Amino acid sequence: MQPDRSPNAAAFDGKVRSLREAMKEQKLSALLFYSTGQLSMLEVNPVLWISGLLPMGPHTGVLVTDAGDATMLISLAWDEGRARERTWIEDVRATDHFSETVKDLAVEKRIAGDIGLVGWAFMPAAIYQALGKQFGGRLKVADSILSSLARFPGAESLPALIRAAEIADRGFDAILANARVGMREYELAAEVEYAMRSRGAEDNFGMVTASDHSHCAHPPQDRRLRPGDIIIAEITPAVEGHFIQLCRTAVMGAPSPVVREKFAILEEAMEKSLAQVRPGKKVGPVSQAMNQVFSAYGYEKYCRPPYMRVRGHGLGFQSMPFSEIVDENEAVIQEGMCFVVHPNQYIPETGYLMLGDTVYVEANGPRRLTQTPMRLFTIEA
Amino acid sequence: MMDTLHTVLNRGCSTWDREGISEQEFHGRLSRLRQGMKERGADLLLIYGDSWRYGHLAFVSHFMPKNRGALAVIPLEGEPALVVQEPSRNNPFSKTLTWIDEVWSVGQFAQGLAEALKKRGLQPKRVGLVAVEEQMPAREWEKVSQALAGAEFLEMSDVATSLRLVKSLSEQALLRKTSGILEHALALVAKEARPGRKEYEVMAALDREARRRGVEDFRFMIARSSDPRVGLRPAGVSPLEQGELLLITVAASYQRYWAELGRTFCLGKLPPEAAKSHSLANGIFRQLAAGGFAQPGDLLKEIPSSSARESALAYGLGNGIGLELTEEPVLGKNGRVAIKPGMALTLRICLQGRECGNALISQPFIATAQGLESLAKPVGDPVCVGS
Repeated sequence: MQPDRSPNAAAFDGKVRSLREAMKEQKLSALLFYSTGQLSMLEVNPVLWISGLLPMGPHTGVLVTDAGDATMLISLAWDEGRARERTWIEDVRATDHFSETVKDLAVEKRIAGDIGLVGWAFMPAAIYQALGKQFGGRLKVADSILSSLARFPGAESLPALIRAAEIADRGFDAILANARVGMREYELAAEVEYAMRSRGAEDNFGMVTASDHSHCAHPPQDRRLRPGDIIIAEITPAVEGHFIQLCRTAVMGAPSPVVREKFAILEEAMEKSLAQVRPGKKVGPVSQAMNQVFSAYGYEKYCRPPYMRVRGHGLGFQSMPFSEIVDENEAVIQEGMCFVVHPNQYIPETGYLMLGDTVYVEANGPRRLTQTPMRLFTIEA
Repeated sequence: MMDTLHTVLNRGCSTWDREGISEQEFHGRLSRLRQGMKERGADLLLIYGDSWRYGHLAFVSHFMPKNRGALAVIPLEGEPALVVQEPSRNNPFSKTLTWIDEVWSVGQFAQGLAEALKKRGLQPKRVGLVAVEEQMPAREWEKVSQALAGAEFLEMSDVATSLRLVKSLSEQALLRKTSGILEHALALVAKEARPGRKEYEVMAALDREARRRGVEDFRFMIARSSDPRVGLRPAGVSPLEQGELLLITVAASYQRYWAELGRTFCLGKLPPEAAKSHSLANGIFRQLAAGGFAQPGDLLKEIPSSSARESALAYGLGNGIGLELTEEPVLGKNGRVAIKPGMALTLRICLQGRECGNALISQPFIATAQGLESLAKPVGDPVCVGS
């Protein structure tokens, strides 16, 4: 589903102002925001961020000049109506020849200086090479401009984040309501998906895995649920281009004492890591707090690859505070950031267990956005 | 060209059904790719695919990246390897999706490629590339090309494309399966679409139906006569209205094989002008299927409105279908496509927009010696629903 959001002119005016300042600082004459049709939950989508349009089709770009005027290039002519409806940009053009059209546009706009590329990290090599042929050394990688401007979803996005969180809660409810012995994993995942999409989730980075010993969460397969299975769920719906992630574990039937005991370690790790989420503190200690808990119980080895590494992350499309919650991350947590904290852990006695919540950082600490209790769930088998 | 909004994760049933497509079939494909390597003088072939476009990659490996990309590394002799950009803990899962035993789960492709080459003692001189530069991110390609310093690169996507054109009996069976699933899903519009229902609620019901039947991915697009300015698009929040026409197209992949199915629905009684528009579209569609696909531009002359002709051309009159939703051959205005038995096609007529009427028909076919065999039920009048 497409994000249903009327272009917020004031918000985009602010973005353009910030971009003009960045261009001035970096001596750029224009910025080209680029996106392939491939979407990633772990990245800010450059085209969506600047235009309000989630791109469809192989190549979409927005050229913003240092004077602040913008032109959007799309690759599907029939998508022009949707583009015009979604974006504040008045000049929308369809083209089958992306790099040549960018060049023509640069001539038309009399862009003589360097052009910063935003979205280079995921730009296909062939497009980069083709643009290189058109502009030579005038192309500069400028992904850092977006990274620095898109760290916060903005307070105006809180209603969307809260709605996404409510949808995530309903997604997990669907597991509790529908899981039954004999059901296939993908059938259960279909119910989770339905619970969220029928409430308006635009997309979902969702994985539902059932096993007596999982090594990771992955998209569902055709295994049938059995008594005693541990169901791990990573549920990540999007609303208005903002993602929320909820990670939980449920057991088919009464959990064994060992599962209860090991899950309690995740609960402790969650509590101690959330205590580190404060404005002004660094990201690294959030991860360190988790790893210290697991290490204290003898699982230090399992806090490293190939078992575990990342202890949370930003959630993309519209904003990304930082990429990963890892021990080494020196980034500083700030009020208004939104990210998921998850002490998901492979434990040799139980397999992979999941627990995680998305937090919105407020002055006095993290605000959990979902309502699903942070505990181990039981499903009557 | 037809396309849909990509999703952040291929999150439907993710398996390799060995009864549907055997390891033997992949060995045959590998052998034909190696023949192409010999003809071009390549001693290594790299085939890239991502979670959006994985056709060439899946053709040789059956692997479908769930959210990033993967690279098949194929030496002229010996076992191939697969390099997947993913955390190492995902490795056991990834191995269930492919017949290739050697799967490297890495952060950067260059790292996995170097490991695979080192293990084989290979220092390739001429490296064939399939969908690598076209799809691989520039920053990854920069490092991959450095790892192959001194080698000459040859573009070989055309070799893989030519091998994929004619579908085997296994592939045809999977296309039939996907088409059947889409028919079940689309049939739900009659039950789910009614005035006041939101677009996304209808979409969710169809999506669930398809996912319950084992698809890996599902797409839904809608256009409405009440808003002719906007073409086919993902479902939104607007409620459906009595009396309007809905153009709905759905697509799904099952065991990596895609199909697309599009129909016109009317909420209530069909207005005479809508019946006329659909009748025109259906007439053209039947002619396309009866052989007009060979010179589709001729059929467009039957459309009196120039904007309707432009609409039909913009959405495309048809294209190949298989491991990708849109693949070769593409039927264009001036195209003269030689269709061979075994090829799979989506034929499509979409008249949408101001002064275009409102009609959508698309469905998959397999070419046989006797003509095109439809993989879906014949098209009748628009389906009136929700009254």
